[in-house]
Amino acid sequence: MRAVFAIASDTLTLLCRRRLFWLNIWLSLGVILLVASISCSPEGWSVGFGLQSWSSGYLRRGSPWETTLFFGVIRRAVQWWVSGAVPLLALFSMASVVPKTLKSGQAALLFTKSRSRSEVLMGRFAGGLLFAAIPTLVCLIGLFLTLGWRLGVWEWHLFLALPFTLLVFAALAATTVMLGVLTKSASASLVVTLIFAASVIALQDAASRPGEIEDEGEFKGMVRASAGSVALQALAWPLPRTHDLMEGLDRSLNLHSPRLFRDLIRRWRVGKYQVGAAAADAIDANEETSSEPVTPLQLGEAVMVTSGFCGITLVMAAMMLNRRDL
Amino acid sequence: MPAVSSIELAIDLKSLTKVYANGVQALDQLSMRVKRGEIYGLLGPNGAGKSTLIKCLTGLVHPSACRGTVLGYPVGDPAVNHQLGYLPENATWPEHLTAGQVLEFAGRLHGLTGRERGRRVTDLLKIAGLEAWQDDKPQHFSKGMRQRLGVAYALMGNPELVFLDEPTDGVDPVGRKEMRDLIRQLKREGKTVFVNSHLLDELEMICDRMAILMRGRVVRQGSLEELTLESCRYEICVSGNLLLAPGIVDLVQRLGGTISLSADGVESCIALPTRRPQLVQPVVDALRHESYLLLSVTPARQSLEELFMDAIRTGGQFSPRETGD
Repeated sequence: MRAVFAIASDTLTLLCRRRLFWLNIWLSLGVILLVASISCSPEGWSVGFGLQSWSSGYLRRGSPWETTLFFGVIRRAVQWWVSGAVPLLALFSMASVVPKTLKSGQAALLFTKSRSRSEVLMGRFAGGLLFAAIPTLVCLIGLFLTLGWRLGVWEWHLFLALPFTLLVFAALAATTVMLGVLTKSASASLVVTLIFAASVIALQDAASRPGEIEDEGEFKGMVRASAGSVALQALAWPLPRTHDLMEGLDRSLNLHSPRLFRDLIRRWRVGKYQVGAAAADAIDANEETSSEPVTPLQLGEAVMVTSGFCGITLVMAAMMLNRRDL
Repeated sequence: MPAVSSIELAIDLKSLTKVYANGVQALDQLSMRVKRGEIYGLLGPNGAGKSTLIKCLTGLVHPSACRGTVLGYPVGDPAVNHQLGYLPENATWPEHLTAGQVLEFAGRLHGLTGRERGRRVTDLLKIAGLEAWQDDKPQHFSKGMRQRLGVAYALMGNPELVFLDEPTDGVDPVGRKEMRDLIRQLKREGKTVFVNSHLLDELEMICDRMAILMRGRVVRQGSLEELTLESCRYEICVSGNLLLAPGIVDLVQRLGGTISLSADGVESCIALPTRRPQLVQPVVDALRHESYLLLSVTPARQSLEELFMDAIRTGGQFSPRETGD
C-alpha cells in the first residue's frame, strides 16, 4: 500500500508541475473572480466590480431577485465549470501519464521496484483523482466564499459537488487509463475517451427522457415504454450515470430560488433591447426536454453503477497490463 | 564449476524461450546458472537476446516457456522484485524529480521509513558521487552521471541480485574504473551482479563467469579459464627456418601443432595446442638437438575478444557447452 501512496504522490507532483494544471487553476480563479464581481446596489446591478452597471427596478440589493441571480449564476458555474470544464482539463493532463509510464526507459525503473503492476496502475489513477480534486476544490471554496460574501449565505452543500465531480471524473480517468494501457498513446486514449464520454452523456440523456404519453382510452396519461427506449435504457444501464449524477448534484446544491433564474434572464434588457430573451428560450427548451427529478434510490444506483464501472475498467486495465511485455 | 544446489544459485534457468507477438524468437530454450555472490557477464552481438533475457529475469517481459528460478522465486514472480536491482540500458528519468528525489522515490517504493530512506539516499548519492548534484535534475546530467544515478537507484533496496545493462556505456575512463570498483565492492558485500556489456575487456577484468549468447541461446558459459581452456597453447619461437628441418616438422605435426615462418624468413614459431608443459619438452629437446636458438617459450590462450569473435564467426553453430557445471 505504501508503494501505491508513493506512486500516487509522484503522479500528483508530476501533474501539478504541468502548465495545464496552472491554466486550470488560473481559469478557475478567473471564473470565481467573474462571479464575485457581480453585485447588486440599491439602484440595480453590476459586473466587473462596478465597471459595467445596469439600473433595474426589480434586480437590486435586498430584492428576492438578487438571491435568484446569485443562486443561478453559482449553479451554472458549478454545473458547467466545476463539473464540466475543470475535470475535462484535468483529463487532458492525465491522458499522457500511463502511456509515458509504459515507455521502456521508465517502465523498467518503476515496474522493477514495485510488487505488482496493478500497484503502479492504481497509484497513477489515485494520483490523477487527487490532481482533479485540487482545482475542483479551489473553485468550490471560491464560489462558497463568494456566495457568503454577497448574500451572507454559507451554503455547505456546495462541497457535495466534489464527490459527484470526482465520481464522473473517475469514470473517465479509468477509461483513459485502460486505453493508455491498450494503445500506449496519450492522444489516442484522450480522443477515444472524449468520444466515449460524449456518447455516454448523449445516451444517458436520451435514456432518462420520459417516454411518449398515451392519449387514448384506458392508457391515457400513462408512459409508454417503446421497444426502442427499453433497448436504449438497457444499453445505458452499465455505463457511468452522468445524467443522474449531474441531476443529483444540482438538486443537492440547495440553490433553488423561488423565482426562476431563466425568468430573471428573460427580463434582462440593455437599453431598449431585451437581450436575455434568446438565452431564456434556450434554457426553457432544455427544461422542457429534461427528465423527471432523480430520486434518492436512482441516485444511489447511479453512484453504485458508476463506481462499478470504474472498478471493472481498472481491473480490465490491470489484467491487460499484467499480460503485456514492457 | 562443481555441482551446486539450487539454494546456492541466484539464477537457475532451464529452457527459457521467448517468442514475441510478431513471431520473433528472442530466446530459444536458454539454460543458465548463476551462483550467488558472483559477477556474471553476458556477451553477445546485437539482437542476441541479452536485453530480453534481463527483462525476462526482472519480470518486465513474460517468457513464452520457462522452467527456472530467480533467487528461488519462479521467473517473472513480482515477489522477488524487492530483492532485485536493475539498471536499464536507456533509463528515462522522471522530468519532475531531482536526483535526490529520484532516490527518495525509489526508497518509498521499497517501503523504507523516512529516517531509513534519508540515510540510504545520502549513502547512495555518496557511492554514486552525486552528492553535489542531488538537487539537479537528471536531464541535465552527463551520460556517465545518469548511469551512476541508475546504479544508485538499482541499489536502493539493498538488493541481493543486481542487473546492470551496459553500465559503462558513455562513461569516461575514470568513471569506468569507478564503476568496476563499485561492482567489485558489491561482490565483496555478497551481492550477485549480472552485467551485460559490449566492452569485452571490462567483462574480462571483473567477471567471475560469463556466457556468450547467440540467437537466443547460450553457446558458451563458464569462467574465462574454462572458456579458453581449449584454446590453450604453447608458442615456441626460434631463430631460423624450421621448415627446413623435416624431423621437427614431423614431430610438430604428430603433436597437432603448426609452424609459421616470419615474413623475412629468419624466425619460426611453433604453436602447440596443449596446456601441458610435458608435451612441449620433446619439441624443445629436438630444437636444441638441431642447434636452433630458442627465442621464447610462451604459454598462450585466447582473449575474451578472440573467443567472442570466434563465436561470431562460427555463428554459434558449435555445440553449446555447459562448462559451468
